[in-house]
Amino acid sequence: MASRFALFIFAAFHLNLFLCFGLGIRELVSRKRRSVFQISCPWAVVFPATVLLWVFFEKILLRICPWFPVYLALYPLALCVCFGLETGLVKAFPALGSALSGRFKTGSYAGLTAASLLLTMRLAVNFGEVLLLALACSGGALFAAVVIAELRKRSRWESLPAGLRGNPVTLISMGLLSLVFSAAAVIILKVLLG
Amino acid sequence: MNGQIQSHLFWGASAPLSSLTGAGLLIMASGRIDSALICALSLAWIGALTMFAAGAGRKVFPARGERAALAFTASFTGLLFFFALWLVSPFAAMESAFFIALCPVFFLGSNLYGRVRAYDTAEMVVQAVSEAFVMGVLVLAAALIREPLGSGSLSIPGWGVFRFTGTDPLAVLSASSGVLLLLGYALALYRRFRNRYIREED
Repeated sequence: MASRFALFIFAAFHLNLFLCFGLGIRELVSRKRRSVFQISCPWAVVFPATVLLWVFFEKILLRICPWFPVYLALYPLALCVCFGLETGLVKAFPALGSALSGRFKTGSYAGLTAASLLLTMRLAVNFGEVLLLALACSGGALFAAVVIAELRKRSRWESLPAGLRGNPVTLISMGLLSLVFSAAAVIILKVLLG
Repeated sequence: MNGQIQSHLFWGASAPLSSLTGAGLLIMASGRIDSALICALSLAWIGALTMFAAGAGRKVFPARGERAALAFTASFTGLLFFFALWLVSPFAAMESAFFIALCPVFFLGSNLYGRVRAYDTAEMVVQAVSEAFVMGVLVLAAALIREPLGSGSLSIPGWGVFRFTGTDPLAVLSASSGVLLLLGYALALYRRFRNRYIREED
């Protein structure tokens, strides 16, 4: 149980991975003001996309050809699956259209799906752990997105030097936040795993 | 902002530092100088071959699902680069696979094809190589700051790793949080110079 919780904490707090893939950076530092609902909708795509892709890679593709270079197929397949899921979601729930449409053009969360999938493929040994890791990755990224949106909003109220306003201060905040998240993850993991 | 500045490779609205499209790549590949060099090479290779394929086969490129077709083409050219590198140095290829996979993401994120589709194939390739060069220089510049300050070493391909300190002087710079801080301050500096440059141009 402790090791599963540790896995969850590691995936959820591993903000560095999310930031490393960087596709979310453009989306996160964009100047558009968005509500929490609009920020959270795309992450609903990340979880099912990660699970679907894991099943495809681990249970189908790598069983047929184990030598397949997975790294280089991660992003295009993640892009296609995210696009398919997004289209399906918008058709099923038209109200989500404003929150989802257009995200595919920037590929903003396909990269996160690829990152989440990579982590899942490396760490998960059974389907339960796949669900746990995918949920933790998408939840952690959603948490980071909400925190950064709030930081961005608050930075508008502060008096900052002209050059630092907007994207630079958001990136600096992301750097500090990333440092805090990774340190917190290490401390929690040390406590959990002794 | 006039049209010339708008499309400028370094100061324009679609430049890597203006649109932050290559931020992920910058974070991943700028940890070491040899990684940065491989990244610059892979960007040029993937950009040139993808634009060549897209330009030469624009009649067969599907109008619907164009982005997916581009993603697959770019990833396939990335795979070719990976195998070419693997033939030269299998160890370097395995170490670089992660960010070679991110290079197609940079080209798709920057919407290069959308901006150059009206040009002929040769111009598309030149534009792709130019953008790859700008991004490659940025990654290399970040690596030249990160590696000596973060790890106290310099890794030169073919020569090995030269360590000049016993400890890591500014270890935070080796982590992605450090490069985000660096990117934030670099962006502030870039915007300051860009505003001055635009004023001079106008």
